[in-house]
Amino acid sequence: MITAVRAELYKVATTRMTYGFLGIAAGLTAMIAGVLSTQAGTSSMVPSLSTAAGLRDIVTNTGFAMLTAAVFGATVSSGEFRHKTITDTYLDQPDRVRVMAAKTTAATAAGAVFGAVAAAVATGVGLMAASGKGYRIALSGGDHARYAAGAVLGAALLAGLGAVVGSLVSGQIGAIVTVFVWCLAVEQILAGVSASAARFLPLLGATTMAGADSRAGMPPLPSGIHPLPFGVVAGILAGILVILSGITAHRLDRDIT
Amino acid sequence: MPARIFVFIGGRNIARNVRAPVLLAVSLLQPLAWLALFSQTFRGLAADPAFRTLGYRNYLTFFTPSMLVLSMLFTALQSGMATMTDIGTGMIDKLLTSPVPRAAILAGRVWADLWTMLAQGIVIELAAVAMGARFATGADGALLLLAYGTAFGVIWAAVPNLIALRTRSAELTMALGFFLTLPVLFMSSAFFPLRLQPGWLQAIARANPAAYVITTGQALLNSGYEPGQQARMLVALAVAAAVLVPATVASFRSIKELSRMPVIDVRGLTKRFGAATAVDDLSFSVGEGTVTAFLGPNGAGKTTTLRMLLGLVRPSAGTAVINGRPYRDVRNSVGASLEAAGFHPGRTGRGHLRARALARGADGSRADGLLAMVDLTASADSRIGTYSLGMRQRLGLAAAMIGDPQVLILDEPANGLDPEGVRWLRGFLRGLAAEGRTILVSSHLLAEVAQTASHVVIISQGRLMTAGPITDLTRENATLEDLFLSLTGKEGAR
Repeated sequence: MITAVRAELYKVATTRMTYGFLGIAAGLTAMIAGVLSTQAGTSSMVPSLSTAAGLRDIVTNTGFAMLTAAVFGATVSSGEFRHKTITDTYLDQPDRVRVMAAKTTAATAAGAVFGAVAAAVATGVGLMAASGKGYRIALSGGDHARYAAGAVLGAALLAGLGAVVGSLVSGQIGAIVTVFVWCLAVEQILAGVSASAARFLPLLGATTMAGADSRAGMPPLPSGIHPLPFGVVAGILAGILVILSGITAHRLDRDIT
Repeated sequence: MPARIFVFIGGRNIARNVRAPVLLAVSLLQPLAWLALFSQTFRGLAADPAFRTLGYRNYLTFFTPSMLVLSMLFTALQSGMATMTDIGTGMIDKLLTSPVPRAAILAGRVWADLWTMLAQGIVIELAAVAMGARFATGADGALLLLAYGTAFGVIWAAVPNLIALRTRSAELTMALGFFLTLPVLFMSSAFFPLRLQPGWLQAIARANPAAYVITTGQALLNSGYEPGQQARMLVALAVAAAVLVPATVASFRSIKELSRMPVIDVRGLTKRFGAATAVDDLSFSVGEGTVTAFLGPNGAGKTTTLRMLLGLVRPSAGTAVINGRPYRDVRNSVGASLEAAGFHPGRTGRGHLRARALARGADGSRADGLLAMVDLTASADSRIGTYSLGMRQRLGLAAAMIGDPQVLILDEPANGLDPEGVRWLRGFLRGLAAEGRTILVSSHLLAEVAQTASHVVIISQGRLMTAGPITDLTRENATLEDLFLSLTGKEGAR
C-alpha cells in the first residue's frame, strides 16, 4: 500500500495541473478575501474588520479553495481514464481497490496543502486589511489556528471525496461536473430547504468546520445554520468518504479496454 | 559456478535481513530483551526446592537454551515469510527462469538461515555469560549447544517454508507458522522443568525435537555432557529432518515442475461484449524462452486476449495464466506494453518511468538506464506530449522493462514506427530473445515477425487458426504471409 501511495504522490507532484489548481485555489481565496475586506464595515449588514465577526468573515473564506480541492481530487482519479494511463496503473498494481485507496490518500494529502495555502492567504489578507486600517486584531491566535485546521482538514477530506467520485464516474468531464453540480447546486438547494441539513453536507459542513457562520461563507451558508462541533463535522465527512469508497470499491471491476 | 551462485543467493537473503532494521532488531535485540526479562521474572523459581533438586543452578542457566531455541523458531518463521515475499515479488520466478541451478535457490535460503541463526546463538550465549551464566561443560559445551540449536533451527525452518510453498499465502504462513511454533515451545521444558509438568505433557514432549534440544542444552549448562541425552536428541533431530526436509524439497520441486509448464497458457478463453463475441474458446500456449508472434486481422481479438491475460478484461469463460498463475500474482516478473496513447502528456519521459518504477516498488534510478536502452536519453526531460508516436512506443517498451521481466507481452509495438524505428525494434526484440526472455508480441507486420519470432499463434474472429513453430507451419506454405492469408480467409485480397 505504501508503494502505491508513494507512486500516486509522485504522480500528483509531477503533474502541472496540481499546481494550476493550487494557484486557482489561492487566487480565488485572495480575490474574494480582498473584495470582502474592502466591503467590511461599509453597511450595518457587513461588520467592520475591527470586530471579531468582521475579521472572521475574511479569514474563514476558504470554501472555494475546498471546492477546488474537491475538483482537483476528481481529476486525480478520472485523469487516468482520460489519458488512458489507467491501463499502466492497473498493470503495475492489479489490486484496484488498493489503487483507489492510494489515489484517495494522495488526493487527501494534496488537499491538505490546498487548505493550508487557502487559510494562509485568507488570514494574510484579513490581517493586512485590519492592520492597514489601524484596527487591533480582534481574533486570538487560537481562533486562527482552529480556522486554519478546519480549512486543512476540510480541504483534505473533500479532495479525498473528489478522488473517490473520480474513480466512480471515471469520465473526467463527468466527474468534474458531478462535483460542481453537487457542491454548487444540490447542496445549495438542500440547504435552502433545510438549514439544519446543510450542516451535514460535505462542502457546507467543511465550510462551517473552517469557521464560517450563517452570515458568511463562500459558497454562502444559509441563514440560521448552527454549525456542528468541529470533530462531529470531521467525523461526518470521514464517514461519507468511507461509505462512498466502499460503494465505489464494488464497481471497480469493469473491463479496461 | 553453482557454489558461487548459491553463496550469492544466500548472501542476498542475509543482506536483506541486515538492511531491514526491523528484521535485524527482531533477530538480535529481541532475544536479548527476552533473555533478560525471563531471567528476572522467574529468578525466584530457582529458590524452589523442586527446581533445585532437578540440578538447575539458577533460572538463567535453565532458560538460556530455551531462549536459543525460541530465537531459532522465530527465525525459521521469518524464513517462511521471506520465501513468501520472494514468491510474491516474483523473485522465485525470476530465479527459476534464469540459468541458475534450482538447488542453489533452496540451498541459498538454508545458507542464509544458518548464518542468521548462528549469529543469534552467539549473541544469546555471550549475553547469558555476561549476565553470569557459566557452562558446566565449558566452551566445548557452548559450541555444542550452538551447533545443536542451529541444526534444529535449520531443520525446523522447513516447516514454515513448506507452508509457504504449499499455500502461497503470507497470512497462512504466518498464522500456521505461529500455530505450530508456539506448542512446540510450550510443550517442552522451555519455561518450566518438564519433570514438574503433567504426565500427558511429558508424553507429548517425547515426540518434540525442540524438547530434546532444550533439555540437552540445559544439561550442558548445568550438569554435564550426558551422552545418552545427546544421543536421544540427535535421533530426534534426524527423524525431524527425515520427515521435514524431503517434504519441503518435494514442494520446491513442484515449483520446478511449474517452470517447465508453458510460461503463458490460455485455455478456452472467451470474451463476449453483449451479443458480440470478441474471443471465442481460444487456447494456446507459449513456451519458455520463445518469441511468439500473435497474429490476426484487425478486430480478430488479439488486444482483448492480451488484456484478459493481463487481468484488465474479465473473461466470460476460460483461463489465461502466466507461469501457472494469474497476472496479479506474477506481475513483477512480467512486463507489458499495450498502447502508445497511455501517457500523461504533461509528464516527462523520465518522470513517467520513475512513476511506473515507484508503482512497482522498483528502483526509480533505473529510469535513466532504460531511457538509454531505448535511445530516448536526449528527450528524457521533454514532456511526453511533444513525443512522436515512435518515441512513445519506445517509452512504452522501456516501461515494460522496469522490473527486468522474464516475460514480455507487447501489443503492436511496431505501430507508428518509421522504417528506422522498425529496424530498431527488430534489434531490440532480438536482444531480449537472446537473453532467454519469453516474448509474446502481437503484430500485423508479417515480414518483421518472420525475422524475429520463432513461433506463431494466428487467430481470426476470436478463434485459433493455428499455432506452432514458424519453420514447421511454413513448410507447405511458401511464406508466413501466405500462411496468414490462407488461414484468415484474406487470400483473395492479395
